[in-house]
Amino acid sequence: MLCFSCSMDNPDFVMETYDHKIPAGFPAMSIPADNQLTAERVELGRTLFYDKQLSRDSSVSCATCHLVNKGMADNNIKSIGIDNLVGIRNVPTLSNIGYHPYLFREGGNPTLEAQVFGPIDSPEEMGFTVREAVDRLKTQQYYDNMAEITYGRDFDEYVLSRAIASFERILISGDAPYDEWTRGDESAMTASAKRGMVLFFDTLNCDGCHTGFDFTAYEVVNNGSHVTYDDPGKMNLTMNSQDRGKFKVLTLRNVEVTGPYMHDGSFATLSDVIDNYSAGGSGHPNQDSRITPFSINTQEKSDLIEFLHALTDPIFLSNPEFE
Amino acid sequence: MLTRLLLVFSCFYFLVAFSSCNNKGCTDSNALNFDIDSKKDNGSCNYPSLRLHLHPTVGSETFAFDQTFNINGVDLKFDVAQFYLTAFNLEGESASDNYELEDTYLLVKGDQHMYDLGEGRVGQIKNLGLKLGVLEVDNHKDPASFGAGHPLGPQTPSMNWSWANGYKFIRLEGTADTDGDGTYETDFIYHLGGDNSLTDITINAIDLAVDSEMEEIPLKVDFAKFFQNIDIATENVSHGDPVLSSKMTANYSSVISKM
Repeated sequence: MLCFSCSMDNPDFVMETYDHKIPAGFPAMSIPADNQLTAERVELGRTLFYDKQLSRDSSVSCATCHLVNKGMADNNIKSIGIDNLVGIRNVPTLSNIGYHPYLFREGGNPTLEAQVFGPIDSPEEMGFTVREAVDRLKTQQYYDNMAEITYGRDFDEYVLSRAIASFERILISGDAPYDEWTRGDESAMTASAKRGMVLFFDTLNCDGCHTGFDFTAYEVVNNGSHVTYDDPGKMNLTMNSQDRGKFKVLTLRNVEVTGPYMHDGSFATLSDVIDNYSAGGSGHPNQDSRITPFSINTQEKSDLIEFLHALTDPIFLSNPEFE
Repeated sequence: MLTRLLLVFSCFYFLVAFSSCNNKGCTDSNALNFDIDSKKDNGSCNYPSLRLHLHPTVGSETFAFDQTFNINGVDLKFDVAQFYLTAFNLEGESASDNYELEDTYLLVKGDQHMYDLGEGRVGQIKNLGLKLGVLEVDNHKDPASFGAGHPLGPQTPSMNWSWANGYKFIRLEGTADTDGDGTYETDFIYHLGGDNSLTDITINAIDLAVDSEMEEIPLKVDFAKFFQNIDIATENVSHGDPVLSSKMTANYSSVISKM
């Protein structure tokens, strides 16, 4: 921080490019031209991510719900916010969130930057407003200095959203046992996990939705998790009844530690999830046609779960850069 | 003789030249200081300030926060009452007098009366067209991209749905005594928006108030009109609920009227 203070007096100061480590096999991440990653922006964003002053009573930060050792999610059924208020949805993981083409479970927000405001404004999460949060922070020397260094302006909503988005873009998970296996380490996965992998990709076609490097193509679909949906999902955006119950397909990376599952946390275990899919889903009218019933035995179910566990990235779950 | 001719010519030349130089002024007939004799504009034009003077009401009563009003037979109090207006189109006596206010938004609040619309034009305003809501071209922009103090910038309370990437066109909140026992036990929360709910409003035969530097458009805002055909006892919460949104949107055009 002393260096940053000195930098303000140094007309030749140049921000340090952030060493954005993209795992082998992952595509380049699209980053807005006005918010390229620098060490300073990531540092500011990390500080804000952990700052409870973003909530009305200074009790809740982004990190309150997005815990590193929980795959940047938590294990509550639904989010717990200010005054222990229960939110409307299960906390999604932020693993590889920088790759998402749109944010929130119904996919209604197009940028990581704009998404930042949602939890702050939410009465059940941080119970604050962006305007008030900015007014609280902008008078503090650290934020005032860092805003000038990182974005050449006073601390405001622009700085707040851009910085947090910068930090979120470094939350990359790509060093799970599965990834090591794809890179040639035959011993990285157990025999059970390998059998589960065959079930996942070939027999059961789970990769119909959970596909690609991030085990999702980010589609917004109805996966037949519920017979009725109190939470309309995408229908909130479109007002179209055919979009009721449609939510963004999340990554399966670190799914072992991010339960409970689904938009409302109503599935406690991966076994419960597999049971629902094997039954062919709920049969909701909007259910995606790719959800069809299947039959697997106890060993196969165990193997499938073992494979899902092989998507747990121990480096991600303990990365000091995320703390 | 030749010398005299030259002298006359020179005098004439300088007379014309200096006369042309002195005929500079404001050449815009829409300006307060329009100079009909000016041949060349010198950038000195001044325009009247244009203001919207809103008179917030709840039915026949003047609006106030934390005051009891009766709407559709239900006693209620407002905590938040605000909405967006934009796309102001001013019509004069003739088509040539018409003009639009570009990129102008107002966040109308229950306890605020005067709104600056920037520079107007000299001349009688007959009719006013406007829209309640946010234009689709702006409705999905990042609030942080607007400057400090801009109506579409971050507000307290917030007028933007991050999850839906759009603005709340109206935000009405308060408490209601839906069972008539004297206690305000029911919260009402109406956060409504969406591109499809952008609503045209036309006010004809405006009684424009004019002084030497200002033009003021007086209009009435009746917050009770939002609740037409709404059963507050059972339809009291919407964060964009499609059915309730549709019912309330149908009321937008009647909320603002001539004084």
